[in-house]
Amino acid sequence: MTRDTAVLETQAISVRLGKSLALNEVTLSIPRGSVTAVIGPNGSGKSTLLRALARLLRPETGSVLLDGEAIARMSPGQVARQIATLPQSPGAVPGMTARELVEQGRYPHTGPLRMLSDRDHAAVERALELTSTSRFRHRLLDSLSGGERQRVWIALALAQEPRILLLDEPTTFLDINHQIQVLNLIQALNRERGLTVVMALHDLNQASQYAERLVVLSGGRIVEEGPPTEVIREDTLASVFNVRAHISVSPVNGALLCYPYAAIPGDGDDADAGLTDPAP
Amino acid sequence: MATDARADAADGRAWGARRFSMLLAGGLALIGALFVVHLCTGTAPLGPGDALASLVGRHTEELHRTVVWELRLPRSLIAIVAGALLGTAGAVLQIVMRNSLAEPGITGVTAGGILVAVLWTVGFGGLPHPGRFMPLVVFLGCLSAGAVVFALSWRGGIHPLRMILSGVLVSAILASVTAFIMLRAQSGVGGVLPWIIGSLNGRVWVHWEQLWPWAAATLPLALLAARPLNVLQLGDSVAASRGMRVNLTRAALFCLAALLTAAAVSVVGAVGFLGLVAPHIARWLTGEDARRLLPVAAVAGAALLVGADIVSQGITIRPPFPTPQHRPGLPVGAVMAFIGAPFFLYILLRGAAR
Repeated sequence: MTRDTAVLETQAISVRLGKSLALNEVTLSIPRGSVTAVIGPNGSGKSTLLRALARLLRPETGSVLLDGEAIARMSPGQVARQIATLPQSPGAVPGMTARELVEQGRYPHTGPLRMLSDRDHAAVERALELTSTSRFRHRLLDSLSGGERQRVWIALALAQEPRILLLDEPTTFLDINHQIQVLNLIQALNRERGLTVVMALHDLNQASQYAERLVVLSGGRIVEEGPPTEVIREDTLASVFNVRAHISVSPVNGALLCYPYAAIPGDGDDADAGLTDPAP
Repeated sequence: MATDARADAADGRAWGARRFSMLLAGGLALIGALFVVHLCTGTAPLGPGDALASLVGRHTEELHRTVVWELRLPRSLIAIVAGALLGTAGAVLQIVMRNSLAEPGITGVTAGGILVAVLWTVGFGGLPHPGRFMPLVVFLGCLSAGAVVFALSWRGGIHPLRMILSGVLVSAILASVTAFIMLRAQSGVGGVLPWIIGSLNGRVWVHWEQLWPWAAATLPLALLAARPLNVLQLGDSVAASRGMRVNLTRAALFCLAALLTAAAVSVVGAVGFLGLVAPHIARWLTGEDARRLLPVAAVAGAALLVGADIVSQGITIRPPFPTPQHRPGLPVGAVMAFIGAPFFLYILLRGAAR
């Protein structure tokens, strides 16, 4: 992979959370305009990696580069104008309407005191349209379904007009229909608007279908990296997720599917890591 | 826009800009009406016509003019502005602390002001005009206590829970010291009681002159803080992802709320519950968007304090022993607590405490 196509990269970053090393010398390069899925069992460092990429925490060693420039030397606002991050299941804000929430995405552009300009309102409307949430822009968030609410949160990130979208398990807590809707939306944003996407996913089949690159984390280290066809292997699933799985090819789109059928006994207390949707 | 109108009509819970301006206009009209009633209220009741005529200086009795201009107008203005300050401070703090039971006293400012008021009365009560410097002294006490709470909450950032606990604990310590001093001094502290309860009795232009510059400086700043407050409402993690320096912002907003509170407490004393109730009324009326919540909380606070003062002046204290002609009205803080405490209970029972 050539360096000049990388929009975001990490150089041997280590992050310590409390006593344990959450990321251990992770070196990663995110190509411009790609969709990357970060997978791994619980506690493998997926969220930490996303937070480090977005400058939300400072690595102990190593650096994160955005367009080749150290992110630590940029201001939070400067980073937020290029990278939009959504945490896992952001809390509900009951008394706000969808549009009011999406307007908050303009914060990095307006700063703390300036009011919204026409340009800001246009960006908000565009974000609502892209996520098909214009219909309920005046509804309160707590009156929306989980899938609708998640699309509104994505609209907030889009209103930020970022080049890079970092999503932490965007489909968790959604039913299957809404999961597919959200992933299709992310795919469309990548294909039609050239957005670079990095998302942590629990569901390996979704990762295999929607991402062109997989990054497998285990114990804070990258253990595998590459296109799904190279990464989704029986031995990877056994060593990383402690499951025996059958790998097959999807008759619908040719993506690899894995069907885990047995937990490998031993040290793995994370044997249930998200593989709850076995393929037919 | 036609689509907007349709969406608004389709959803009765939507709050468009027009409804907000109407709400604000209604609130201001309510304050105006209460203002007129307030001018008419007192030991010598006036008709609204007389009161307004005296206000604009049309051929009225000299006595009416003096009563309105020298006694009632400053008192009304102070009630409006102090109420707005406390309502706004409460709204800011409820968002910053992420707790709908937060109120201005949680900054420690109120307890600090009261302690200093008691110390001043005990120590310098013999001065020719002890009351004259009271507001300024109380203000300084407020700020010192706020600074202590701030210092105790700061550990490379302000965590809402640590800040609430620091505020409650510092307030408790200050209140116990206050109680100790009052028990030791016994006589001579009667004059400080209205400060502890919160009162508008005897508030005149001197007090207004201390109040308005602070209000003019801090209220607009608080209304401008609506955008960072909105982003902060979404949680620290989301706020940080929007490029906000969360710790710095929360610290600045705490200081702002402490200033708003100090300005009010230094003039009207520790009026409780107002800063808790006004933001809740505002939230019911407008939802949680701080751009609307803050102005409506300010208007609600102003209306509540003026309203409570009208009630308080109607209820005079009748001690069980014969008194001379002087019968002071009930302190407004007592009326506020009478309205506020049941309301507080209601919130708790409804489970609104998040």
